[in-house]
Amino acid sequence: MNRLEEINNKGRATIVKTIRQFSLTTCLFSGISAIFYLILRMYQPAIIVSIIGLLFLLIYYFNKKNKHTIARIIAIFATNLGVLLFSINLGFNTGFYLYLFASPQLIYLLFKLRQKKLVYICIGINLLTFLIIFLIDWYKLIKPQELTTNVISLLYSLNFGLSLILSFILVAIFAKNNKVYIDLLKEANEELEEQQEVLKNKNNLAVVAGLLDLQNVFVKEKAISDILKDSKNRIKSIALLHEKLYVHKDLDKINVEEYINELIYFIKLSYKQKNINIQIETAIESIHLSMETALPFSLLVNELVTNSYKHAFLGKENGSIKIDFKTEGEFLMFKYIDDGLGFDFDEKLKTDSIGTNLINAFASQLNGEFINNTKLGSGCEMILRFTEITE
Amino acid sequence: MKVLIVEDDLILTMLNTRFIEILGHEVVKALKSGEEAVEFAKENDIDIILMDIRLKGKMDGIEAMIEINKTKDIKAIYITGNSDPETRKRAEATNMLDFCVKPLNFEELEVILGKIN
Repeated sequence: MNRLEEINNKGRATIVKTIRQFSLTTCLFSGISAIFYLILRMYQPAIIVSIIGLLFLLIYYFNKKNKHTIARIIAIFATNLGVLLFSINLGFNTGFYLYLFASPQLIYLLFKLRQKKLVYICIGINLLTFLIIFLIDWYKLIKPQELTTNVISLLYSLNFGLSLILSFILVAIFAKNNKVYIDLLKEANEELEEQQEVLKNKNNLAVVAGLLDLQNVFVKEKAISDILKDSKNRIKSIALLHEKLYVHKDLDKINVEEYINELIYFIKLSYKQKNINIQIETAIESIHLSMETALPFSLLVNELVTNSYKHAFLGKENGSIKIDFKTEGEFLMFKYIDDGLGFDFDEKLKTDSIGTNLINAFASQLNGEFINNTKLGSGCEMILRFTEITE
Repeated sequence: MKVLIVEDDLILTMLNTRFIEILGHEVVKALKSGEEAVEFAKENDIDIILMDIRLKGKMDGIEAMIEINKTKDIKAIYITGNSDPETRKRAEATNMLDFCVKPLNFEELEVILGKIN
């Protein structure tokens, strides 16, 4: 169960608990009312409130058995039944106030549990409204008009008809909004799960990279240390991609500009050499790539920068690297230049150089036009013109 | 330097402990929650805290640092897998030495701790 489900379940459980408490309170009041009416020898209202009391006891029972829908239906039925029985037998005003029983429950269901103040204010306003109506009626502040039977029937029919139409419209609106709400909740849930997955992957990658880093501290041989460092940086570059996905809450797109700048920072830290001053100049447009494209692209950049740091400036005091990435119409144009020693790319490919082979593999994976002007003695220059990888 | 590590992942705690020890510093304690860190910092002598942000318990790393800094002037190196701008901004408002994204590199830690030395 994820956090969102846990919160939702807790929220629902609290609402059910509150409704159960409301039901028991209503039962208690019904009992007191029944006794009160019996003392006054008013048998009809005593029977009616006893029925209401029993129905609310039933609501309590069904809620306890997790049959919440049945409980809600009985709650509506019990309230309306009480109002109608009183109104038919003893006149309209006698039953009208019974709605007081149900209104706190309705208000409680309308708002979220966190909106405590709002719930209290609404229940307060509700009670105040009933008090005002009661006082108006008690002191006869509005004098009833003398109406003919026909007019009264017409008024009843009109009110009944309009209320019925309004109820249907409200039910339809509720059903529609509820669906939208549930869909949104589902979407948020899926997003959260996806984010948790990214976070888990990122943490696993962090652990693997960390272990390689620790191992490397104890390695004295440069060749082995370089292998460990290269592996760690490849993992780190993937972890960084996951990090970018997670941070921006956009699980589809990677901000390349931000990503490359951070990647360069980590490579600089890993391969810092005391006697060489390497300047890196970047001109990167704020382009967002999908994970499918960003993964080979980021690994390609990682290999190129790492390659320059490790081999390009050996024996030199200064060096420079230029990275350009921009859009050209529908294409993405990547250009990588260093003024280092250069190398014979095709010859290197024939050897067991993992870095060079990976550069070639990632460039092929991006399925673009790859122009390689790297030559021994004249630095590195690689241009890749590609489009986003589509599944 | 006396370093307190607050991290809820056991392997990362082990890795960071080793890094710190290799760099010649002492890990006084490794804790899993912000609440534990607040209690420990009250009664112990610490120079720096290596603080994860997402932690077990009700308090996150930044909230724990705010509590700690109410009584002690200790700087934090935040190590997190959650470096979104809001989190970074919240962290910067505390007594922060640096803000690092997991995994923490050995070289990175060396540079950061070197700032204090």
